Amino acid sequence: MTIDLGTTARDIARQVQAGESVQDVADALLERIDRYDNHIQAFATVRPDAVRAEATWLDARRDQGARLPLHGVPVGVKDIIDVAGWPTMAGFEPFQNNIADHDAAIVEALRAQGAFVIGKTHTTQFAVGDPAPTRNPWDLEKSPAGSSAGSGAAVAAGMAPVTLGSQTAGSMLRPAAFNGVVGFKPTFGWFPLDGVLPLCWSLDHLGIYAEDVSDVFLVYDAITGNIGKPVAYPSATPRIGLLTEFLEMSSPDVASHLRSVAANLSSEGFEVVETSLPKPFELIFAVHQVIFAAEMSALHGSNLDRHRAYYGPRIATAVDAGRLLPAGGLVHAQRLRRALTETFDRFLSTWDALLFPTASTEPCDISETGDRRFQILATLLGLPAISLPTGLSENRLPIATQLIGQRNEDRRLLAMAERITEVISLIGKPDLSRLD
Amino acid sequence: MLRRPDWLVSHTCRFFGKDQPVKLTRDSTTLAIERALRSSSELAYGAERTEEIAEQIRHLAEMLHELAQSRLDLTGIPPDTTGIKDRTARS
Repeated sequence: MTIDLGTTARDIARQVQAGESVQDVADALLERIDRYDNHIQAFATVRPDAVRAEATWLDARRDQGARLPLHGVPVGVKDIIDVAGWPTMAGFEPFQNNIADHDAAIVEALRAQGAFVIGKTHTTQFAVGDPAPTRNPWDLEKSPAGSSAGSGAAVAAGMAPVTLGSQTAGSMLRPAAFNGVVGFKPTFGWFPLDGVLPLCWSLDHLGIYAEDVSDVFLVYDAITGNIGKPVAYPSATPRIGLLTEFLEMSSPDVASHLRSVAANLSSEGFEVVETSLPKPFELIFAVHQVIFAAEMSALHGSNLDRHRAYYGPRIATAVDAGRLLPAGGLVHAQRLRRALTETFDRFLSTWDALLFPTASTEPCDISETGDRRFQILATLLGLPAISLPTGLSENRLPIATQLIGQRNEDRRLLAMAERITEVISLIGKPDLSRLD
Repeated sequence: MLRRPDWLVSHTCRFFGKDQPVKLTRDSTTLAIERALRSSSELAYGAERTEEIAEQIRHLAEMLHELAQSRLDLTGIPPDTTGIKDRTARS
């Protein structure tokens, strides 16, 4: 079987169900990883023998009559998520031999639907700010963002049709934007966090990267047990709020692109109306930053004291500073978060979705992971959000559109995003011929 | 008797460092908050490390200053720990 840029999970599952060998799928993808990953470095661990053994088992199940929704679909897993028998290193050297006993709940759910693990993908250390070794497939000197750098880049380079990432600030959506792939983060709590190395207990989300929205939808349904269930499609004229504050904070080409997306949607029957956040962005950002710093420091403080030499400078600095926060400041932030959540739930009840850029700029220099501000709204408030790669900058680098939906209306948001991609084309794929 | 509105955020929290305790209130300046955090840092980590983390301290001071501008009735909204509860429930 040939796996190339643009091969979807649906393509693979369909072919496997029709008789294609999962072993061939695994071999094709391993060959592709062998060909490109020395340049891109999306994967922290690949275990070809373990991959082939699982593929053989899936072939046997298919031969026995099993036809699973994700049968034979290879999945890359961010290296903070446990996969039984594989190391969970989180970019932290002392964890090199931290072999997981069990699959994380989300991996277990995917395997139950016929998917198999193709590799563990690089993360920034502990999913914070020190850049991962991964490079952006669109330009190796540009950042793939973080923290889910490897998961975003692996899909962009066609080394996995589906990967898992996580987001505690902007770590799902920004890599989706920088790598030019679709990225989705559900409502808080919808994806199980059991078996995932935490960063901030009240902010951590898992999410999905894929080639297109339909693949994300399929994987979302597989994880949440919704396959085959009807979808509440948005109204005939979905009402979308264009958040102008974010356009003002964007680079000119990003702002101009989003205005053009909004205009295209209007001409295709969507009701797009300019609107503003019901509370100042500065407050939303501050609440997130204080909760983030306090929880991260509580989690990492003692480990940092034991293993300071192994910690990256950015996370070490952030943990040390976070430990200085007064408890009253955290409690005030937590109370404000609840107030903001209630305000935004009321605000969102008047919209089908909110529209704004996923990231403020095109992919930045590789020494950074990018501006996290635009992804924090959905994280702090636990709202479902999707990033669609809808444009290219003057430098031929990806620009993305973000949609935030109503709480617990993840499938409705995915359905709307599917409809949007029927009228607005997603960008193509990076030219990898220069790496051959 | 205390007038409710004044009591609400007038003592959001206090910092304890090498210097006198500093209250975080609506009237606290970013500079005062930063000075209080630096004082705590010097006590905890020493002067050299405080310089190394100075940028993060400044950032947190700006964030705390922003938070302190927002009043909340103390009899109303409890802290949001929903996330923590959900994580446990789904594990």
